[in-house]
Amino acid sequence: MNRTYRLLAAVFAAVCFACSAHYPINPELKQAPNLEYGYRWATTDIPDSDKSTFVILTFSGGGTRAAGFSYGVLKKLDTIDTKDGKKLLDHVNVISSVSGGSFTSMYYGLHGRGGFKTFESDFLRKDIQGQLFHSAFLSPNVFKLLFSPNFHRIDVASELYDAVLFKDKKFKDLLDEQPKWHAPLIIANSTEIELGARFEWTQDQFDPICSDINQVHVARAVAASSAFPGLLSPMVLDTYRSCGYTKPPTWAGLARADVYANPSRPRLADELDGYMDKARTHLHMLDGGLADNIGLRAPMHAIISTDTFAEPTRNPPHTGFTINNFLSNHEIRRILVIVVNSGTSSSKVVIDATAAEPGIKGVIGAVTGTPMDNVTFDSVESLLATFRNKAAEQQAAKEANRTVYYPVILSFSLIKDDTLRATVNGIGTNFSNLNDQSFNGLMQAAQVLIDQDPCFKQFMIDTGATPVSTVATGKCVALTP
Amino acid sequence: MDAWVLVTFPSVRDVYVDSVRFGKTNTAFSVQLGTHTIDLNVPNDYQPPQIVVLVDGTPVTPTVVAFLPI
Repeated sequence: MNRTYRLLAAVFAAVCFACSAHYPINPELKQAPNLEYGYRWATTDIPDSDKSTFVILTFSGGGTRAAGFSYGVLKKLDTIDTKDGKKLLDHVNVISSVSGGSFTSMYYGLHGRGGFKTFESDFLRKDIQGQLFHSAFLSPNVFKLLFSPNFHRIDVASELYDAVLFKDKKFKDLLDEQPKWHAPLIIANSTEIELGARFEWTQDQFDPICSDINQVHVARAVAASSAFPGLLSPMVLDTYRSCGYTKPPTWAGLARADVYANPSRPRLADELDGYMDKARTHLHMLDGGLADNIGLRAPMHAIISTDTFAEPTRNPPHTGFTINNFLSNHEIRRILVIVVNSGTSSSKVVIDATAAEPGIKGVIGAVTGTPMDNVTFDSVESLLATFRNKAAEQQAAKEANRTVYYPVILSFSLIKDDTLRATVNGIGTNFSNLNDQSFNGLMQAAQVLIDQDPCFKQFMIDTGATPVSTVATGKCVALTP
Repeated sequence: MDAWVLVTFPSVRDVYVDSVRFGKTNTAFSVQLGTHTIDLNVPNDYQPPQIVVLVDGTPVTPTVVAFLPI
């Protein structure tokens, strides 16, 4: 009898323990928001450094395929010599990433090129998906998931990413690391599902919810950025209202008048109102791919606008993340934007090969994939149009000083070799380990695509970087107004 | 969407758009199309203190914003 009671007591204790499990709460910001605190553009050394050549990378989603492809691009940039005796990789100023790409960007932000080897062994070659399944369903976590209303599958994922890759590093660590090797600003993007808005994991975005990003584990950002709907639950963030962020920056009031002149401005002001709404006691984050699957929108916004959630200051001169002013006054003389898109394309006819009703997998694939693909297309088209327009305007203005805009789009569909293209297109969108063929294919794809790009080649020639590719042909049409 | 603005003042002075330092007076520069607050760097020896304006000019015909010395 005693044994039965003890067993029941043990089960009761276990259930109680599981009931009390809670997602890690993002801490409250204990001071008024200011541009000299928290992981953000203004607290890095980038705004005050030489920006004459400015390099932005964007890493798309696509599971381990995306993580591996973006890793291949970093490694490729590390083979290119620049005139100052450094590598082109050393000149990367910003990396904006989504989902699988956020694993690479965050790990690089924390460890630099020194982390290349371990990233390969600790992540790319590991069966993270299998471990995720094990952690969720074959470990004590299963009780937490069953009995606690405040612990979700995404929290299991976040804990796992911390254990295998990020080792409890926080954004404060990312910020401390930045000036040591002039690391790029890393922007992991997720999607706030009720607002339908892109959410950047920086203090600029955390100000309106009065939360302190410095104390947040980077694994949380990566997990939210890659929380694929259905497979993983949304990540919950708490909002606070006590830090004094009570009125939006000045631009937001003026932007209300621009409904017809420039509708993206009032839209952003509405978004900010949403974050400031006191009824919004929590935020719910899903995969950044829902709003932008190539991570391009954050840097594009910084290129075309100075509207951010942070009120600029003049003394000292700080802003939220924008480079629009530096492009306008030509402090940036050359800007290279490399879009690393791991999206797959297949010309194989499957659904339309029969009259049969498509399976649920095919329908879900279409429902999720079609809007994402269309947004990706629009983002790339917008980048190219913006750069061409800027080049044309500079010419029309007869400006003596001009900024040169180099867009580079790395996409599997541009791989000319059929075998290589089939190899990388055949890698699934999941977090399984990459086998030798997949890994080598992604590394080769990164090299081939960079080498064959005419705008990248032009950038190399214009900046005196070496070795200049002999493979790329044609001219960089984006440079021609 | 870019738009161009020319801020005039008798001397060369830094120009702020929505409190962000952009260009110089008397030289046209681009900003985001829309309504902005424009003012100059210190000293505050100009008037009006700031101008709110819809900037929708082109490189050839920029929106002109004029400040005068006090």
